Amino acid sequence: MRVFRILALALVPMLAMPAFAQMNFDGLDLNAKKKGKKKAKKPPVEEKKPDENPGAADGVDVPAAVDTKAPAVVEKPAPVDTKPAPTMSFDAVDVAGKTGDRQKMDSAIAQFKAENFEGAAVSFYDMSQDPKLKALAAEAEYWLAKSLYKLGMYHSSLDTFSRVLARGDRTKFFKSSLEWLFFISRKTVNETVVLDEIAKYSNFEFPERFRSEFRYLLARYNFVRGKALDDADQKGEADKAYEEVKRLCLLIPKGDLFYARAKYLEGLSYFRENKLETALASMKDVVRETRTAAAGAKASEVRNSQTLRELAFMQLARTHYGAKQNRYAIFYFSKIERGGPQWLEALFESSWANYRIGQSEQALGNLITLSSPFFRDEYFPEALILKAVIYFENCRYREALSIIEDFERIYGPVQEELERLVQKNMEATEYFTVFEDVRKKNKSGEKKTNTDEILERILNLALTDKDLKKTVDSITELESEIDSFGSKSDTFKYSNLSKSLIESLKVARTELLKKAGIMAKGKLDFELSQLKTMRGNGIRIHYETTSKEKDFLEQQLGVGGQKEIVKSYQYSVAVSDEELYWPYVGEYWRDELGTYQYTLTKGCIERSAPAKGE
Amino acid sequence: MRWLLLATMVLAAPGFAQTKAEDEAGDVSEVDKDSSGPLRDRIPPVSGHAFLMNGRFEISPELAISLRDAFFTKYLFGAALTYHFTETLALSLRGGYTASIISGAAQVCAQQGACRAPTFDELTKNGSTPENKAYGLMTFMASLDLQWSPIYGKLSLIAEKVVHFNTYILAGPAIVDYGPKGTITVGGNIGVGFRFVINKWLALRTELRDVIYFEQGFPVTNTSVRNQLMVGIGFSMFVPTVFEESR
Repeated sequence: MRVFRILALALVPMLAMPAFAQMNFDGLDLNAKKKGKKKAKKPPVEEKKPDENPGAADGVDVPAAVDTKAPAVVEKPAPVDTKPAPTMSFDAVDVAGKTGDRQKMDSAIAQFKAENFEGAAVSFYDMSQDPKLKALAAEAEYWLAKSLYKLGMYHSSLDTFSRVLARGDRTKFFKSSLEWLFFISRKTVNETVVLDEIAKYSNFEFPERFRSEFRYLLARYNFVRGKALDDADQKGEADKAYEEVKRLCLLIPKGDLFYARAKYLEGLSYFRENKLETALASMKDVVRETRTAAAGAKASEVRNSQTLRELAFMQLARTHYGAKQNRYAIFYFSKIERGGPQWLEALFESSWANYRIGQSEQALGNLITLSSPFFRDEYFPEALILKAVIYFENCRYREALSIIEDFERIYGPVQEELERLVQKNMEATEYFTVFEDVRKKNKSGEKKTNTDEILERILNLALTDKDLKKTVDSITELESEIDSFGSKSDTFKYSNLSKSLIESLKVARTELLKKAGIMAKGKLDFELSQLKTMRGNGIRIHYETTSKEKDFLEQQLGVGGQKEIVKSYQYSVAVSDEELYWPYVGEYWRDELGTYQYTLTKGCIERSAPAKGE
Repeated sequence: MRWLLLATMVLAAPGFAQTKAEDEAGDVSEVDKDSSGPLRDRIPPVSGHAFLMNGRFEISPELAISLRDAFFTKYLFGAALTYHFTETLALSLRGGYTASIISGAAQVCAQQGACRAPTFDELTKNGSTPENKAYGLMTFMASLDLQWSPIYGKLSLIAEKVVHFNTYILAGPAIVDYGPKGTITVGGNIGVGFRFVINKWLALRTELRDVIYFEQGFPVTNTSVRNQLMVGIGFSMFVPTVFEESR
């Protein structure tokens, strides 16, 4: 019995040996895990057999969770091909049982994995264009899009993913391609270039980890759409778009990365409907959510969060200002970070709030900051009007007139140039070209003519429109992508792929130029009407001032020059314990900007009079 | 000693102003906020300057006095002509006549008797022959200095008056005429100074400099490296009298 057991034990390995030898013969590397480094040299082992779920079993590098990182190429070992070998032909003999076409694809994928993205992209493109490889065209396009993403050519990648998506959801690459759109939206300067594409597929179910981002992007898409519809006076359709914004925002749970952004959109939608209290509540939610940065948040996320927080403060302040709650408005304006993107706007707008409650010193102080050489090119024409109004109300007629004359001198030519531009009725793209020329002159430091300087002011003015600015940034990004072909290898640079991509990028650029042109023209129209109103106000102030001054002089003559309308104000330069008093002597120090208070030493206002506006 | 104390106070004043501003502004001073804030990326620290030097000549009469003298206290009456190539760099030519008097620290003591101040002849003559018996007698000095002015600031005087100042350091070769026989030697000098702005073309200048040179004593085998500390004050007039702010 014991001898039998020993014999049986010896027999088992002997019987197993041929099977083991067979497995080796088939090219399967059973030690693949141990020989990780040699993986790339054995493409048959890494073959991916696409199935109905390219995001999982296919080993497609689907990005992990909600993360702004580019998706890592995590290649899982593919299951062994269990399909029967194809009918044997002379050129398709393969020990792994693959066709020559499949081998081509694998070879290109191997190039991708070896991080030779340029070579891989060219191969994938050639395959996608080869009529003989029609069956692999979708896969080739999908990998081509990924290769372009890896090369940092996000617009080209987007265009290619769009083509994969256009093939419909029956291809196994549909869902993964949809997910890749999110990653492109995080990489491009203007996420709206991706929004149209995402919106096209809004009826499809997105994986859980992208659902909030998808809802937010879709809400944003609807918001932009609603705004455009409002501009086009299609209120009914705009209402629907904003309703959709609110619905989508409600679906994003508290604590989600996109919650604060969604709340902001929601608040703006309520503000449009004049539901001010609900709008304020949404904005306060944004402020609460962005109070502290999430643990482990990246610098860009923290910055975005801070930007959103400030936008919420601005909206809170404007809402209160609109409701004539000026002190609340001032409180929220003061929350804006010094030097941040919203800071000058906040200073200017808080000047009006300060003026309304009779704090003319603070209002004028803010305007000192705005008139510093640092911000000479910023566009705040209304600042001079406010200044003139304050001097007028203090019976300082000479100063008021002089300020109005300054306003006319500076903004008269701007209005004329604006009118000339608008009346030309140029093609949308031409409007952008006019700005582009000035922008290029600015960059190159070329000497500018007077008209250029005025155009520059108008350019700065146009770029105050955030959507337009983002579109312009997007055009610049697209142009950089076109330029980047020059730095690629010759194989890539002179390939058919490059020609095709450049053509597509040029089409995309033209589309964006058209969009930017329409926005620019809209903005110019708007600003022209605003400037006309302001100049009208200026003329009214001029008239009022002159007539008041005349009345005053007549009264003075009547009493033999005895009457004094302007009295000396009592004032103090005392400051709180937390402050230091530095007299302003015409010099602007960076660390003092935004802290100025102008001392009105004389005027005709009774200082004990109750504050206006509240 | 009193001069040294005064000079130290003058030199320390801007530093004090800065510290005071930081302390009084709270935990995070405005200075710190400014250094980390977004404004830093896009705008210079100061514009619309109350005072600029770039491309201007500076004519500066001055009076200086030596410090820590063992034998002679020197009073230097001089002037400097400076050209400012940039806002921070300048080249300065200066010269001055020096009147030397016997220092209070110099004493002649009898072997078992009281000490007294020496006479001028006792220090400068060997019998009737002029000899450099005591170091530090100087009659003339001139120098060519390179100036670097890295600091421009302002001081709040009792929270009422603002004084703008700049600080510079200088270094360059010097010619010194020393001793009773009028020996000329080449040395160098380094220094630090402040200009306190009075108006767009006038400033008050204070300066502390160390004139370094080799001095041959009596007998001639005695050679000493002299570090002649001098503190000076003067007025600087700038030409042209107006300047244009460049952005």
